[in-house]
Amino acid sequence: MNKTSSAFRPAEIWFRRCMLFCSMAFGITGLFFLLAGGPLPKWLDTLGTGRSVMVPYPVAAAGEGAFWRILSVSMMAMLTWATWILFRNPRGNAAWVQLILLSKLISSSLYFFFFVGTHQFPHLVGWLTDGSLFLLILALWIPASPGQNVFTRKERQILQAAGEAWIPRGGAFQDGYKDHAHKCLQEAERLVLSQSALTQLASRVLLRFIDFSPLLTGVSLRRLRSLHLEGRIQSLERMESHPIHWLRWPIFASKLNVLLPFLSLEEIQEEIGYKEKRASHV
Amino acid sequence: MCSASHKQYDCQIAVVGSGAGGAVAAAALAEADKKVLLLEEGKAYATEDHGSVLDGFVRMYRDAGATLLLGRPPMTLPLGKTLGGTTAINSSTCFRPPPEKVARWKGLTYEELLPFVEEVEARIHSHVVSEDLLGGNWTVMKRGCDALGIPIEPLFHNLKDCQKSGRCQFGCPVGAKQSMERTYVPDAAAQGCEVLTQHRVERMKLDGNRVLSLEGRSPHGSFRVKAERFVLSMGALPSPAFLLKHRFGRRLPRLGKGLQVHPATRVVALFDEVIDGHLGLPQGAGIDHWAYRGVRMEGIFLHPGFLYPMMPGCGYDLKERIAQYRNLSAFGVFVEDSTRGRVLAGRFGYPFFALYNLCSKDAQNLRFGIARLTEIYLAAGAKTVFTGFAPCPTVDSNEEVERFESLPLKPIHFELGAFHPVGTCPMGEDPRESVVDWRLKVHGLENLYVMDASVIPESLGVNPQITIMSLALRGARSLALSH
Repeated sequence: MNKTSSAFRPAEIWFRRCMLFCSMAFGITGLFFLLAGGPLPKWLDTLGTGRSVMVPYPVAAAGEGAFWRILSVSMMAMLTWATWILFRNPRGNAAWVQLILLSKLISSSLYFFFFVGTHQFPHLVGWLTDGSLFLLILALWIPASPGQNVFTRKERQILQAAGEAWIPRGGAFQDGYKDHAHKCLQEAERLVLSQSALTQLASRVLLRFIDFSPLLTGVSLRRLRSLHLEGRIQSLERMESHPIHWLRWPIFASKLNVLLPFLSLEEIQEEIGYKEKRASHV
Repeated sequence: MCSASHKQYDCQIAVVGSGAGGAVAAAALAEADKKVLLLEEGKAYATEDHGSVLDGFVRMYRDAGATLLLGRPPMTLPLGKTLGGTTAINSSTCFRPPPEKVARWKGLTYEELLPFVEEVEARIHSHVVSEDLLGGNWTVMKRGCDALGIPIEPLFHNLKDCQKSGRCQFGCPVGAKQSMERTYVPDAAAQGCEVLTQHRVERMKLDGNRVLSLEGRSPHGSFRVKAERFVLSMGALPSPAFLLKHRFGRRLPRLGKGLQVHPATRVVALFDEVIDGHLGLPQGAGIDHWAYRGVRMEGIFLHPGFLYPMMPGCGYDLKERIAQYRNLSAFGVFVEDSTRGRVLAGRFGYPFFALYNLCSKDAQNLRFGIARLTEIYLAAGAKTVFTGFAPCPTVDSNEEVERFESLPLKPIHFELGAFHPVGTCPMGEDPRESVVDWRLKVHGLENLYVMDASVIPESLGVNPQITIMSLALRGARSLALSH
């Protein structure tokens, strides 16, 4: 709980800074809503009246404002607390990020639809504010999410699912990726860890992308990691021969992360004649 | 801003980067009794520490080999990040600078450059390798070329006592490759040059047209280097990006533009017989029969972990191909490009970005090269040839080669790598058309020099390490005389 900032990776440090900022901003906004939030839509309306496309915001019925103020203050209190505990320990409270992102996604989407329907300026302000916050938190969370690891649990599952499909058990030789998954995943993490932060992020995004390969290739509506072996093989085969280059390319990048660790295993190198022959000649 | 925690180094000349340009420059300057400091971002590895192929890849490649040229298609461009730079991870192939290219450089003649070329060749032990080092990959290619009447020759390599480890690109495990960390870097150190590894230069302090100091980070904290002269030898992508970061783009409009590489791919062939391509020099032989149209072929046999990701296949089919590793042969094809790319200053902790969209002429030349290699392999008795060309990934007859050449062609049909970047800080007289003068001093700056591949004005069509070293040697000698 009481980690010093040096215990965090740079991406986590940036995320924590964002959470601290959000916590303070949500707290102050909550207080503002409580003490002076009633006339806020009216003030925003005044700002928007100069714009010809804007339509005045309807005045709330007597007593109705207090009801919505209570709801908004309680929402702000929850967000203040959630962002504070994420600032304290992003690794231990990662599930709360989804709550915050969900909240901001729903609010910004609703603001957008209301704005499109009504052309009222307060909805535009709400859409821009919550939409920006959603994108900022998401952009900072993606690189911070694996914590001290390179991949998140889901990304390791995707890599393993792809590995088992590329190198299944049996066939021309017995061992498959599954037989050496622990070692191969460790080596894949070492490989990605030695990349720059930006490339690490790209490697992870590509993995997430190929998780949707069954959907993109029309093999199944399920994701790669929840598909049976034959389906995974079919899906990856279709992806790597796909006429659209941007669907093909992630496969080659991820294939290296699977095949290089697997084919660097001593026993596999001996199996295919790379190691044994080398030893006899050198 | 400087803090009290700076470790400060004082010297006469600071050289940044220990690759083909920096190491040679540092050695030449130290030999001229200058107090030289050589800074390298990567680590130094002793021969006995090279470990596995995967270890070499993870430790010695910038970004673990994932350095990208962004564009259509995106291409990986392997760069070394270790003492010796990319010379520690290249295939050790040596070519003299092509005289017809040097003739176009106006401010420099081939005769003037030749003594430096010869000196470099002697120091790094460049010689034609004997056929017994070339292995099975050579045997089948020779057979195919002989059948079609195409000349194929062993190439020059900077090797001494090669033991056919077959992994030149991941750090030579027996120290046979005479790369910079085994030649010019020890020479520089022997002449009193201080060599600092894991020192990454990040900023430059300027006063008008004069560089005052370099600042950066090492595992021990930040550091600052004060010197009278500074030499940037970071490479053809990092050097212009470093200058662009310091806003030299306005006064030097050519900076970072005109990036040229050798777009390359490999053709893999499956035989009934055992080839054992890994038991020889990976890039032992070359074919320059089509060099007149900018297409050149060189051997490139790789560890299975690098060979198979670029080959098609999944599941049991892929396993069957993996089991046939000993029956594979591989040869590379690259083109002298007409495309021009661009280097941009880095962001988000990444040192540079490079943009490069392969033009259709280069794509056509690549397909031409793949088709010719396929014919050679079929003449040698290959069962199946893997082309690396998405619309027609495998070919097993000459009729299919014709079909392969008649298919619609787009650059994105290839899965490519890029090698030998040049041209991003070109030599020349006019500051509007070049970045450094013929003595490799940056136009408009009193004490900053660039000595690496970026100063080569155009794509060479051959492996450039000898050219880079020769130009750096000439530039450093000139600097030593003028200083």
